[in-house]
Amino acid sequence: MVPLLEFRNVAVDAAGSEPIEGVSFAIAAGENAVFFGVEGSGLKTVAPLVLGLEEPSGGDVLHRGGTIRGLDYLERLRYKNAIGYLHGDYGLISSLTVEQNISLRLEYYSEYLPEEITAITERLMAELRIIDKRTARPVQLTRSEIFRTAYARAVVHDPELLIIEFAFVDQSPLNIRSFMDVLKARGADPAKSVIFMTYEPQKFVDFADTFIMLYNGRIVFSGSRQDFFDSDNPYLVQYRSTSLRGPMAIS
Amino acid sequence: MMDDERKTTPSGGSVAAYVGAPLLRVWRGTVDFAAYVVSIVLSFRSLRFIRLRSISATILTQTRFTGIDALPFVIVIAVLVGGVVIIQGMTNLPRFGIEGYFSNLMVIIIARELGPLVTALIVITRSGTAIATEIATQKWSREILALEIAGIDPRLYIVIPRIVAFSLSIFSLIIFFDTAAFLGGYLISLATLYMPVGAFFGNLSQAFSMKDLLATIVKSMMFGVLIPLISYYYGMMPRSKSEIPIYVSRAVSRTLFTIIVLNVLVSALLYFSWLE
Repeated sequence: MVPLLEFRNVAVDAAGSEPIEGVSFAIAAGENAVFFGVEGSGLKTVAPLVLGLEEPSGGDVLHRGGTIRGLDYLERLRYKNAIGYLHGDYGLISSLTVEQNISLRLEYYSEYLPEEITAITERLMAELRIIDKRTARPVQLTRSEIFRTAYARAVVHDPELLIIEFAFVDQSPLNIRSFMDVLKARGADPAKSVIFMTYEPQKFVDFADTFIMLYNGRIVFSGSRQDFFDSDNPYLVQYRSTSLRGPMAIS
Repeated sequence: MMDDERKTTPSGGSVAAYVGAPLLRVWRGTVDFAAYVVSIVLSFRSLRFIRLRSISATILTQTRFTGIDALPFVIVIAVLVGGVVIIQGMTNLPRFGIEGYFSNLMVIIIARELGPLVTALIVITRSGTAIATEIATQKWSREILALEIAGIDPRLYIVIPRIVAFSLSIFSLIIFFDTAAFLGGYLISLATLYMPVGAFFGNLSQAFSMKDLLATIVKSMMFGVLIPLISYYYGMMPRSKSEIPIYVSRAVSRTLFTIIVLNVLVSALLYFSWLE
């Protein structure tokens, strides 16, 4: 079966990026993966490659078996429509309301009628308990409300792949409880995948099927949830135990 | 040659470097800006995929901010400028025996030159700075990145509505400026000397030509395109928060310079007799 997303021997050595080399993995549709590692491990290079914001200097990134290099405007638009992205800065448009932020993508180029867009947006706002904030601007929101709005914006077009990159920093677990329920439902959907980029992989053991650890730009561990708990991989052991002793030199 | 002398006397190479380095910077900046303009023009190809509904609200908001909100300020400035020009004209022209050309001079100074130029200056200081600051802040808070990832071309989503709004606003503001300058200026001038209202406005309307209207349209279109373009260009430049004021200031000074140069060029093209 063709994977939803595949890295084949990918390398990046561009200035300003965390370098990676020989990175290969495949994520199937419905599979949820957690990428983790220490600072500078190459973790922050993976999402820009998937999103097409960065070109690999070697190897290839494939979506459903096809390379994402050299896509024309329409193909790139279709590819972007297959992906949702939520990052730790959230990036809500400050001049737009919660509702406008969520619906912007659909308003911009979708074939949906205005009333359909309103219905989709309202459903998401209700699920994430931000419907009473629909006319508020980002500056009027709490941190968890910003988070939930950014999540709604990332999934409003119902993407098959959702990337959540360092988005849980400084979030109160109780305030994002409703979000976690919604995320669990998405994680259980066999047609959709979620990729988490995080320094705290243990937070996602309930969601993720696959755990991939990077160090010095290379994959040093890749395994299932059970492997994540049981493996005696020295890198993983050092990471799990948050020890300064081990194969990873921590500055 | 003594060592000290060598240090203080510029050699041929250092003079060339002294003169050449800024020229090279200007050249590189021009090439970079041209590439940016080409990328904007090329991005127009994707206009057909965009729904107007997503940018109509921005056009309205920008028109309100750039046009309607600026109107009181433009009118006050216009009345004051008009008053000064009328007072100077009516007190000095008779000394040279050319008071018969007073209305022509009014049209030349206010309608052809001061109206478009002062309006553009007001728009640059109010809205140009606002665009550059907003873009720089949006880039810093990764709002621009969020747009790109969503498949929304920031150049189209941000620049196009502003070009439409600025062109409409500047054209309307110039008309208001000219009207207020003539009307308010006339009222102010009444405090110092009397001229029959019918004669004043009759002469003015005779002095106007289609070319003046054409100049107003051309200038408002040009300024309406250039102010958002240059402001966005410099708004995208900062690589850190501390660079935001530097590039906002640069956006204002470069836009002012460009507008003044183009104003001269358009006037020269439209009004030099050898082109008629």
